Amino acid sequence: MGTLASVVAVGLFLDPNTAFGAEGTVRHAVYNVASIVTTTGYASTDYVQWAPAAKHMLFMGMFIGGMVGSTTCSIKSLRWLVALKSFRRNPFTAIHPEAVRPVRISEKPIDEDAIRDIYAYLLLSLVIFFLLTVVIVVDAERGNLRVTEFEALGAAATTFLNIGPAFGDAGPYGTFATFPMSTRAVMIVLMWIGRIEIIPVLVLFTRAFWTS
Amino acid sequence: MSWGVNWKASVGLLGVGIKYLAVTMLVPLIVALAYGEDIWVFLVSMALVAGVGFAVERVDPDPDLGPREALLFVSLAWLAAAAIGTVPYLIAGYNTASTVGLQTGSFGAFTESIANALFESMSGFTTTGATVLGEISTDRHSHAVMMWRQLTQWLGGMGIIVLMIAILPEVAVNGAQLMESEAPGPELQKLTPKIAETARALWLIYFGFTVVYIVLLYGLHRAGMAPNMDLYNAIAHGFTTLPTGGFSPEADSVAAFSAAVQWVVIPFMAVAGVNFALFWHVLRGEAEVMLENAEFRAYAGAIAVVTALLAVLLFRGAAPVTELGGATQGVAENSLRQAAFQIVSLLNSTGYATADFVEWDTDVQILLMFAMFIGGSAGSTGGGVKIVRWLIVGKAIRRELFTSAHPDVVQPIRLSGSVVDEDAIRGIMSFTILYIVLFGVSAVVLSLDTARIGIQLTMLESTSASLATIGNIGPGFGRLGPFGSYLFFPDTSKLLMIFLMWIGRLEIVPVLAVFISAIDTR
Repeated sequence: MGTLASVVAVGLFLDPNTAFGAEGTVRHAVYNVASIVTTTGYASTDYVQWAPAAKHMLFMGMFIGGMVGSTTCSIKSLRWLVALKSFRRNPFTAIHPEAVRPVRISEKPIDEDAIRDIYAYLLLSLVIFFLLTVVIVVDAERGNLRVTEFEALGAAATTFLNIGPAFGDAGPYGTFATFPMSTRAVMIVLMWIGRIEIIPVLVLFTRAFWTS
Repeated sequence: MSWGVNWKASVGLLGVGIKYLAVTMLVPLIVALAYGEDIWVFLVSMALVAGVGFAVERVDPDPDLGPREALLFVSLAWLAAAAIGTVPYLIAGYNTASTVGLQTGSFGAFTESIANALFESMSGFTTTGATVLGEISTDRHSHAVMMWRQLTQWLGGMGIIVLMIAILPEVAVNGAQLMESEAPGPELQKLTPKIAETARALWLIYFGFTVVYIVLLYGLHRAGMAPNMDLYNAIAHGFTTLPTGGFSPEADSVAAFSAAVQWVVIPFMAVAGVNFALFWHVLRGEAEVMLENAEFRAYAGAIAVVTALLAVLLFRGAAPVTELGGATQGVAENSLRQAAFQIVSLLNSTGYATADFVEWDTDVQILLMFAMFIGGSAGSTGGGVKIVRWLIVGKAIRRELFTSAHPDVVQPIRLSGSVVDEDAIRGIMSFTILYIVLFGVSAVVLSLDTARIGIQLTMLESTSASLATIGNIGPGFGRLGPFGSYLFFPDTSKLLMIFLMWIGRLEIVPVLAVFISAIDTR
């Protein structure tokens, strides 16, 4: 996370319009990245004004999330860690197909079923996030509201991952009130699904859940 | 220090391949003769490449490949092909205004010209279709060089390794392992007991489609329905449609041709995204294999649904009247043609265009980007994530929901009636996530790196640059549109995109395996 903050600092320096000075740059970068990554949603400055590259960095930060068992939301660092460790295993098993090498976190091997669950969870959240973006853009277009694709991506991520502020009109000092009511209704559902980590809600929509 | 990998064997075999790449330069040489252009460019290139080939071959005259050597060989072969492909560009444009010609004026100009030539060549062989050529026309660059650019895509389409297996017995020995690493899609269907015969069958089908297509295009020209589609253009587009390539010697891409030509191009682009093994079954009179294939049905369905959606949006006025492409609002034929063309082209990673879609509405562009994520079929020449992976991911997620309600039930995943192996499912899911992660991280890196030299990319530009190169698609949005260029990126960004095209074509694992086993040899 520290590295991420520093990259935002680099991104900030690139923009001639935001002259915070060295201390200010570091403070704003660390503050806002920490706020976004941990899904807090505070802001120490209106980052909507930042250079696009720095905003892209913040947007990426939205997907990281805090730790399991903390009060944060989003995808959670542990899931990414397990996923990355099992990616590292892939090329190894491509070379040695018979080898069995468990993925370990803090020395403990992770159950293969758990890895599969994590994969499914990651893919499901990315797919839902992307579909939500499409819905927001199309719905806003219908309501004659011009959202840029970046604002739409930000709004989708921030509601589904329970962060708070996004970019554009929905920035830290802005409001979601400009979105059409239908879009906001979809966002409400997605906040609900996102907070309880997707599966419990989606299960309700399968026939297998209601039949014995 | 001892190496865990017998790299000499991989490199030695590489020499054989390089030698034969020199032979393929006969095609542009013939074009140069036909147009009375400078033939020395290609004579010198051939001599140079053949010389390198013979020299590299001597590293190990009798190569013997294990699994690791095979992965190394496949990764290196595509890198070497891209490097060899730069030779005609560099020589032909030597110290001229050409963006891909070798510049020796200053060190900065020198490195930039190398990066540009490598970008163009990698984009060719990996059938991406992103270009840094600047002005695309046969006035600026010779007909022969432009034909070489088209030919690189045709060679890369069905796969240079598959071609080597088909014609070189010394490569066919390790054929199965090599083809597994190169072929798009999670698993290889062996059609015949001998792998060399499978490779030959696939290349013959590919060759057959290309010939039929060229004849049709040229036929339209002779029938007076396609004034611009002369023999040169017919062959040039024949070389880049079946491999889902997307290069065109015309600056206006397929928009330069009549509606009749565009209607012919659409089905052939669609064919390029189908698993070629299915055509083999059709030729043997087993058409039901194709019709019952779950991936083929999903591919056809995806194209139909997204095209219909886009056609309706265009008909209702989601696009302004553009110079290329014309009016679509209220014009049924043009709406359907523009929708079908753009969707087929972007969905299976071809990258042709008949309209400047960067001028369309935002919601339509998001729809196009959605199509870019889908990809072609396994065993086709298309790039992207591939339909079969999405099918299996979808089924795995549905099973996840089912088992969270019924934890004790064991439920295998079936595709076209047969059970999919659990290891394969895990591999597919991790590939898909890795693909998305690499795409996302690269988009941010590209955005930061171009900001470094003072150019601010929009989100749609940076994400589409990343997606269009890792998915081997070609055009993106904004300045990277179908009639735009990747020329303005800094050299470092170009190198990153060259890397993305490379690992995107080989589907990540072979290249990562080489890097990771270099770190932990055990």
